[in-house]
Amino acid sequence: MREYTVTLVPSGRSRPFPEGTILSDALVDMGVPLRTPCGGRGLCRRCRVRLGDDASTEVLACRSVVDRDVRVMVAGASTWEVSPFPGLTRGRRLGAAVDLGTTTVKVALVDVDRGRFHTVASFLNPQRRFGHDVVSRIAAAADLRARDRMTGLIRSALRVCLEKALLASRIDGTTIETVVLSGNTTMLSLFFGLDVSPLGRYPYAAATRDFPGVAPGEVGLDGIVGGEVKGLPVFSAFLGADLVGALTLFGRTSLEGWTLFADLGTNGELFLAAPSGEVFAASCAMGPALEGMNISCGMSADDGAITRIRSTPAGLAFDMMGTGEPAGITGTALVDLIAVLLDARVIRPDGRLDLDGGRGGLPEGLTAAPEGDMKAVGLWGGLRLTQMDIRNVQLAKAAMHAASRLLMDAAGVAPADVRRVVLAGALGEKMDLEGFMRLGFLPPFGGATFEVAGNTSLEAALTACIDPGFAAQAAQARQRVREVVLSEQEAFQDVFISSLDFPGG
Amino acid sequence: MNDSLRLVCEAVDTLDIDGIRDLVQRCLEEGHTPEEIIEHGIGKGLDLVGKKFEAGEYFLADLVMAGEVVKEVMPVLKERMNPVDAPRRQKVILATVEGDIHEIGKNIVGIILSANGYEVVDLGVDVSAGRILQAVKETGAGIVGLSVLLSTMVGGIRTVVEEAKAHGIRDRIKIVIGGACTSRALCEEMGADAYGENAMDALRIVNGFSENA
Repeated sequence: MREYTVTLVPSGRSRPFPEGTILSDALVDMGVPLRTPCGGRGLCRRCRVRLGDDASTEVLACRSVVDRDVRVMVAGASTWEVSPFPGLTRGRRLGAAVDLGTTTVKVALVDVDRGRFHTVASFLNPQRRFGHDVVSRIAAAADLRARDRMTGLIRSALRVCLEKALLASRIDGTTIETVVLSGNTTMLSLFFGLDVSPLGRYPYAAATRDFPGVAPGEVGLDGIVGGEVKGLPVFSAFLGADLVGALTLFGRTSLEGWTLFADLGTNGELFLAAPSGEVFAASCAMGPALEGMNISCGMSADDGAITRIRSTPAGLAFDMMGTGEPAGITGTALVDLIAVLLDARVIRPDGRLDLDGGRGGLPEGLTAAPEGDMKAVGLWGGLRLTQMDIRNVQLAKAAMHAASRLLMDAAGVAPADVRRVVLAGALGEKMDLEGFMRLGFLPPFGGATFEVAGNTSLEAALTACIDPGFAAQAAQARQRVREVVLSEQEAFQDVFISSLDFPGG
Repeated sequence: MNDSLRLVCEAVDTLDIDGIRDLVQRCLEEGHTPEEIIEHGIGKGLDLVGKKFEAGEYFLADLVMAGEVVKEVMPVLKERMNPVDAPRRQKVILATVEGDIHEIGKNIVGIILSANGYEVVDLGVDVSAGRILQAVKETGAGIVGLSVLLSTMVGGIRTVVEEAKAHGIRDRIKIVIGGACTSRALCEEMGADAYGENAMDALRIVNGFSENA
């Protein structure tokens, strides 16, 4: 394959890339922390760069390929920034906690002795170019060079992130003592450079369930990390450290009744814990809809993103990050929007858009804006919510709904027996509970109390930075888990299909 | 088109499981043959269902329901079919490839093909190439539908293709692939005969193959 040189202007730094490499990937590889909040679909226009000696041609890096030697000026493009840890001084014992998500990576610095922490960065996992879900990454990793690339990409992204975080916090040159990673089994295995092929083949066995500390040099973090880099233990191929970590966090408090915990992500994970200590757990494929990724107008929380939508007497109102025209909507806003449209009966309980050939009951400010044969609702700034987008949300919500039903069946409990429901995940943090239940991500529970726990995966990694005994506790907690493999349940198909409908209004 | 046939078509299109029996009965009383009812009533109705599915208007539950609606009347129609006139539709084998245990999509394809008069032999999930080829020999099926959801398991398609060659029956069967991780490009790469994007697409492909058979 031919190679071409990409040269950064004005620094003059250059590197060869195979023909056809997507320009935004090449720039990320060269250490330019370019942001692509729309997932590289050319929607958000945040990755605008200039090409040529005179920087005369403006292109979207995510929609351009390297097909000749090219000089690129990235000034003006949006790059992700780290948030400095306020009040941090040199000489403290530092830890770093990482939630290694399939779609999103979150990194926090930890002031170990004071028990303080600060989330310094959140960025899209650079492995996304090898596929958006764990299974496609496992498939890509069958090619060992691709596996090495994925491992290298995430390690160098983490390194760049930590360096920037120390610099921004004005303590550059200090070393971080320990790095603890949490995340799903595939992400951890790829980070530590392990074979992931058994994870993608029935019976989907995890060859490695523990990721004890390794020297920083083994994972490309030498110089910046002084002690060790470790991952929290996982349970199985699809029940990762995020789930085990959350279970360990909950194990520290006593449970007074059946507790259902749901971690929302591309791969959703749930557990149902009995007061007796028994734990039933399952994973389900929700897809990236709630992270704004397989939604035509979706994007992650970034400049230009609509983050919340609500009904007001004067029509629909929205919150947006940054200024200018909206570039997309986040998962939380998507849930808000569908809830509003369900209440307005524009979306029927079976998920169909009912526009009556005209406006129907559309709230003020929205329009009917079909796309070819497909019905769609026109939002703001040319954005649309299509019938397919709603179908993708239904697939996500049905996956979680069906998983919770089958877990309850396996445990022999009814929804009314569940006393406490905890929602977690990067999304859970900002998710409006009412909207979440309005869409029926979970069945109604009658007497349960609801809590939003935020990112428990990151919290588990943080806790492990501060408490050296945490990983051992997690390995202990894991022994109580009984996995319910959904696709092996006879009722799965029926339960899944009957979980697709939204609850009636 | 005749009113009664149109009503059958509409009943399928609107998933009217309660109404379909009487409407089919009326067609029979008016002297329509079962073949006419299947072709001009039920078949047309399923076409409309498929169009709605592809535009996102109908969803998985609706496809399953459409299958149920058709199942409701197939026994009555089959009973009255003149065995000589009965269209001799092909047998179709369906299976999820070895290493993969996902089957919802495959089952929906099975429902749609059965509703359209095909004899579907569903071998289930995690099926080895050996078992698939044995079933081909036993049933004389001319079409094999392979489902794969996990991109890690796509190699299972090639194994079936290669084994069919090794058994000397590659020319006798058409191999159609479908499932979340499949594509037209994958179909070519694996040496299969066709790629179905969804259940209705699968039906069109199978119709095409059985007409040319």
